[in-house]
Amino acid sequence: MTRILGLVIVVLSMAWVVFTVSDARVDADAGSTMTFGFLLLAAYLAGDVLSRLGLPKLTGYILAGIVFGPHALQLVGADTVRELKLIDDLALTFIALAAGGELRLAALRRRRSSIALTVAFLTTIVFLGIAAFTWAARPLLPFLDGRSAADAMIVAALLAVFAAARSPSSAIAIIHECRSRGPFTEMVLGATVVMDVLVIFVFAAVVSVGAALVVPGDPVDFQFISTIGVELAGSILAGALLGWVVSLYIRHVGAELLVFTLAAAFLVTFCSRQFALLLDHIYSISFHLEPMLICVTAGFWVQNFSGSGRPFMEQIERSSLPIYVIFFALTGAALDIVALRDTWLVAVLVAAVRFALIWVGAYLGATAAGDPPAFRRMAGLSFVTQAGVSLGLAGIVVHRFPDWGAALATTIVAIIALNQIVGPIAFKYALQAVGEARSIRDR
Amino acid sequence: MLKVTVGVALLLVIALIGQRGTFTHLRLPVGARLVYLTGSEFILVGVALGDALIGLLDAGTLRSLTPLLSLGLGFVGLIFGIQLELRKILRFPARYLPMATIQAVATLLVVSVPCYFILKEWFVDDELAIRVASLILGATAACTAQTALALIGREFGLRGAPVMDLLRYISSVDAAVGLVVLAFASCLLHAQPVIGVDAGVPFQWFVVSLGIGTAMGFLLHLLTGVRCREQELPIFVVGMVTFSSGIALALDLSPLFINTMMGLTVANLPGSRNRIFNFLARLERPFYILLLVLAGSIWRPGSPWALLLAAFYLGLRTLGKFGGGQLAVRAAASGTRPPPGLGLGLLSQGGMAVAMVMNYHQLSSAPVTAAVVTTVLLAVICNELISPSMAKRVLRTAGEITA
Repeated sequence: MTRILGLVIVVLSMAWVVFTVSDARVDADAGSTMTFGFLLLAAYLAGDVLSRLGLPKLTGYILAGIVFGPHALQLVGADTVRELKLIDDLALTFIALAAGGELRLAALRRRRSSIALTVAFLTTIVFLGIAAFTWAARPLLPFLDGRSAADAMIVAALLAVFAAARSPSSAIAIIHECRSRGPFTEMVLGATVVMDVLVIFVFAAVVSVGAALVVPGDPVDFQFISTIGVELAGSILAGALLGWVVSLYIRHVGAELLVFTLAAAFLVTFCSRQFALLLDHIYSISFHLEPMLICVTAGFWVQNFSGSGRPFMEQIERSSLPIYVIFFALTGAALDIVALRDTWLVAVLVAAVRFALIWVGAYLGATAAGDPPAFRRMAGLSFVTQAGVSLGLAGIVVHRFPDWGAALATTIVAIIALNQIVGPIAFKYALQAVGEARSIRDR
Repeated sequence: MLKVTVGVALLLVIALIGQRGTFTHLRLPVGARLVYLTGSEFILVGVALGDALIGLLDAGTLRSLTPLLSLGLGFVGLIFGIQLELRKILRFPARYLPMATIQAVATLLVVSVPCYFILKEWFVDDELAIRVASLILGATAACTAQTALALIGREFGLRGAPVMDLLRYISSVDAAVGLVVLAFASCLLHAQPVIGVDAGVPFQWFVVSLGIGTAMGFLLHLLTGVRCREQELPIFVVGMVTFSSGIALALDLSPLFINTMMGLTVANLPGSRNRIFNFLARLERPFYILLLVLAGSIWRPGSPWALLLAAFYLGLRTLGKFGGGQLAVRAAASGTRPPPGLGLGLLSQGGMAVAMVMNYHQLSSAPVTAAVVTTVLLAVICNELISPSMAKRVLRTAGEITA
């Protein structure tokens, strides 16, 4: 009851300031400071209240971001969400390090057949299924009216790629929230990270082939595909380097590990972005290292090759809660829920079909790997959530296909919004059902 | 954006190194200890990083770091407020509190009134800006830091020494006077009434400040009550500090004062005061260092008059502390009579004064602001250098140290 009361007071206080003080006075500095505090409190309290109903706290954080964000109650403005990008980046860096740190080489080796078969079945079935469904349901997509069959095929392929994408950040947040440990958790996290990398490759291939089909006479852009390959390899190398530096620090200094790791990861990620801008500006070369992959690799390196995985993960886990709260609240606030109003029918249909296909794909993968029956039934519920990577790729679609890219991106954002709400609930249920989640009382 | 990122990373590293090095048990030569161990060196680090030298923490970058600065100010306010536990304050002899208040108010007046006329004469600015600036100078002058006393206490192993205890007591509470004046000065900047009545607009806003701080204190108490788990504490404390600071900034009020009121409220309610204090204590030094670095980086010396003003301010503050101390000694009617010149043991100015001037810098864009920042920062550095020897002199006169 005190938490609900606290939430009400925080929301009313924010509403009082936002709606009674004119915009001119709530300047950017005050706005970002106030919003940071507000989101941290309101999202955490919302998550706590929802957890009493058996829902994941993560859902509460995201819902708080959506409800109080620029597309609903507008207690948090779109400009302020952009101003908090720095904090968002810092949080993502942290979450990626945590995801990498959770990937234990011995466990991955043990679960490699499960991971490989699940990824193979899941990706193939979801990709082909969603592509076929979108092709069949193309009359429901108004932006394809009067477009060629080639356009419809590319849209179907792109939606299929997005359907295969997952959210490692959401997965790791739920795993940490449930304090989940065990073979099922290892398989899900391993498959999620592998799919994240795979999706970027498939996306590059689809975009390249698609662009060639849309503009007759244009050849398939193999350079784009190969650049993506080099970027991913470069990210892994940069991540390994960062992991090695962190390992050295743990071995020789050790103190204030978290501050050091965060500062280093943040700098590496940011410098990689600046490096990309520099190459683009001076040599017109498009080369982007993937920040998420850099940090996942760094976390993986520290966990498996430094001998300091345990203190590293203890530090990460000790400080993780506020990071998850602010990151997912900002993710929620950035989700354009209005897009759902415009494209709700297609979004709901695609999300439902995707859900069914994921379940079938994961079931077949787990069966082929010889996993226990409970794993087979629950695996499909663990791959629903989508977030950052998918949103980033949607931005590329807008850029590469100017005629209908924006409309498709709106549909994709609407689907992501649905999956972001349903996914964490389904995953938490799955972890509880296979018996790998520890309740709060066990802690 | 690059500067902001590098700035954040650098501030993290400086805070990290500073936390481990400053105020530690390092056995440094006396001269070096005066400069190094008080933390004033971080103001100089800030100056080096600011526009004056390297330019990494320039005006634009500092603007982007506002949430961090507000969090730092809020932390300083909250940790000060949470130490004002009435039950503990009343454990000391009854005359201590009036003594602390008298010396602080006397210093405030001795500094504010002449500074008002000096500022009016030397700086072209409107009447209100001059009035606010002189109040800020008085408020910062009233504060006493514990740094010099802590160093001496450690050096001589002083325990149960009455004059030392009195000096420590005064230095732990007298910033409250300055904070009230700072809050009132920020309310002077308001032209619009709160309740539609034009009379006493600053008082109306002062009451709003008090109300918000107290309400936020009750909310923090509510959230950190019985069911609050250890891992939830950072969320509630950091969330409440930034939220309160943001509200204060949105309403052009003092985040420092509002967070002090929040701390004061929590301190005097039964509940999780100790848990919050322990959490804050762990972060106190990094945030203090962060503030010092940021203070150094906003420092723009401005006109040569500012340097002259700083010299006057330093002299007036010393006079105020001395005179205030004398008045306070007269007020001590019974018990051990502290030595004359007691106020000279209270010259250390430190973190709260820096936080106050940062708060003022956030709220005021008047031309005189730069001169006030220069004055206070120079005075803080000078006072950190001279305060240990002056405090030793007072304690020697009182017979509590012999060397």
